[in-house]
This record gives sequence, C-alpha cells and structure tokens, in this order.
Amino acid sequence: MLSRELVAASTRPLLLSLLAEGESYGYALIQRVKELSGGELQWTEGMLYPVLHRLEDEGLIAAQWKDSETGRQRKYYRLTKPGGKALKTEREQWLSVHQTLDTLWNPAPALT
Amino acid sequence: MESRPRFDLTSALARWTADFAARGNLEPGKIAELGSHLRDSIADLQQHGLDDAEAFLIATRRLGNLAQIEAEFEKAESILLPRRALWWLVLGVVGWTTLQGALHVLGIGLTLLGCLFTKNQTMLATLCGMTELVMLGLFFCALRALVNQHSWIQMMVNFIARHPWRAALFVALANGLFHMASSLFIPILCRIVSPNSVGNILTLLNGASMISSLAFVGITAFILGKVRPAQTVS
Repeated sequence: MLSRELVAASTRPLLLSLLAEGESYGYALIQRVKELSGGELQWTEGMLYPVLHRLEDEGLIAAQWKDSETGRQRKYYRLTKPGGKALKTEREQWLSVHQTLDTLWNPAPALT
Repeated sequence: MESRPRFDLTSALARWTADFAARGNLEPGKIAELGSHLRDSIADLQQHGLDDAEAFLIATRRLGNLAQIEAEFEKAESILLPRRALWWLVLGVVGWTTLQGALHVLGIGLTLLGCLFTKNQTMLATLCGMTELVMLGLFFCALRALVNQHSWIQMMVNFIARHPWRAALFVALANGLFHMASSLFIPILCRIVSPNSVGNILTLLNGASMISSLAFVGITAFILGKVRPAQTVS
C-alpha cells in the first residue's frame, strides 16, 4: 500500500490521465485505478469527490449529469482543454522525478 | 425464529439522502452524486451475492460518515478559495473599476465633443448612457471569449456560480465604495477645475455610471443564475 502523502499527491495526475481516456464517473474511477494499480491504490470516496469538485472549480474537468446504461442518472466528468494542458505539465514533472529515481537505482554501466 | 421486517432498498436510500441533507451542509448536487455512488456500490456488492440490506450496510460504511465527508470537502475547498479564486475575484473588481475609469474618460471626451454642438443636457446625458452601455456590452463579450480560453477565469466563474449572491454582493460593495469615494471627489474636482457647465455634466456622468454599476450587478447575477451547474438529479 502506498503512503497517504503519495496517494494524495498522485490523485491529480491520475484523475487527469484517467479522464483523458474518456469521460467517467466517481465509482468507475475508483474501480479503474484499483484495477490498474493491482490494488495498491485504493481511493476513498471521501477523498475522491472533493478532488473532482476542485478540479472542476479550476476548470480542468467539466461535469454533467447524464443518463447511464442502468437507466438512472450519473454525474460524468470529462477533461477540458485547460485540463489537457495541465496534464501535459503534470506528465513532464512526474516523468522527471521518475527518470531521476530510475537513473539512481539503475546506474548506467561504467564505461571503461 | 421471528423473521426480520422486509428491507426496502429504495426507502433506505431515500432516508439516507434525507438524513445527509438534514444534518449537514452539503449542497444537493453533492448529496445526489454521493447517492449515485452508493447505488453503484450497492449494485456491485449485489453482484457478489449480497442481499439488499447487507449491500446497503457495507456501501454506506465504505462511503464514510457525514462528518468525514464534509471535512474532506472543506479541506479541498479551503485550499482553493482564499488562495486563488478570491485573488482573481479581487483582480476582477479592480479590473472592472479600471475599465470604468477608462469608460469615464471616453464618456467625458464624447460629451465634451457633444458640447461643441449642443447645450441640451438631456441629449448629453443620453450620449453618456449610450457610451456606458456599449462598453458594458464589449466587457461581457470579452468575458465570454476569455472564459472559454483560460482555466483561471473558468475557475473564477465557477466560484461565482457556486456563490452567486456572495460574489454579487462583493462586487456591488466594492463598486459602491468606489462610487462613494468618486461622488465625494468629483464635485470637489469640478469646483476647482470649472465652475459651471462641465460640473453639471460630470455629475450626470457620475449618475450614469451608478446606473451602469447597478445594471452590471443585475446582469452578473442573472448570467450566473444561468451558468449555475445542475444540482438536482431525478
């Protein structure tokens, strides 16, 4: 299981990336991230919805109540244009952290 | 053994919703979304063989209690509001006030130009009003275009949409203070600069701008009423 801090920090890029795949709703997002992480990332509802609303307030995602396949309504979220830009920035930052750690943990064989 | 009373899922969900609405401060839209989540969660649990009562119990437990959920929402919002949205709101008011200043200069220019042709004060006042209205129109067109372009404006609009009356009141207050200051300042300035006709014109201008501020607040409240995100679910 990941630490609370890491879960909190990674929520934003994960949500933006998940919604870049296509529109989705809260319950499905929790299930999807659990499945993708092999159970390592278990988002709670209490944490997810406030973050979704915050991203909506920031204009990075947009929400709409729509009929679902079950017949009742669900609130679907999708990525907006500014959200796409924010995702690009997040991606660059996370990749640079990843790259640094990767270099440290897998040093290139010394040239002789 | 006595059988338990039949568990009715629909009424249990209705009770849960009513309870959240009655005890907490969550907006109806948020409760509706959490309720929708609860139904998804229950449907999933039922697929795993749980009956209605068990699924409802587990799903509500997982969702957490009202206090926890409210605390999470407050935490997420408190970070956002003071640091960002309010800054933009203040900047918006300052921007609007500056724009009004520019508008006055334009209005005064046009009115002074009008003075060359007529001394009719009704005509001059109409001229002032027209200028203000055109600027008001341009301002809203620009705002519409900007909202689609930049996330920070969308953020501000969303904030205002969620608290329309607080925002309108804030803008009205800031505008009111600005006008109180200017209505004290402008007559004094007029006495010094020019005693007669220009003084009257400037008083007219001041009146016109007061009306336009009122119109601004009204139009803002009206537009925000339309922008307000859907809060209910059938």
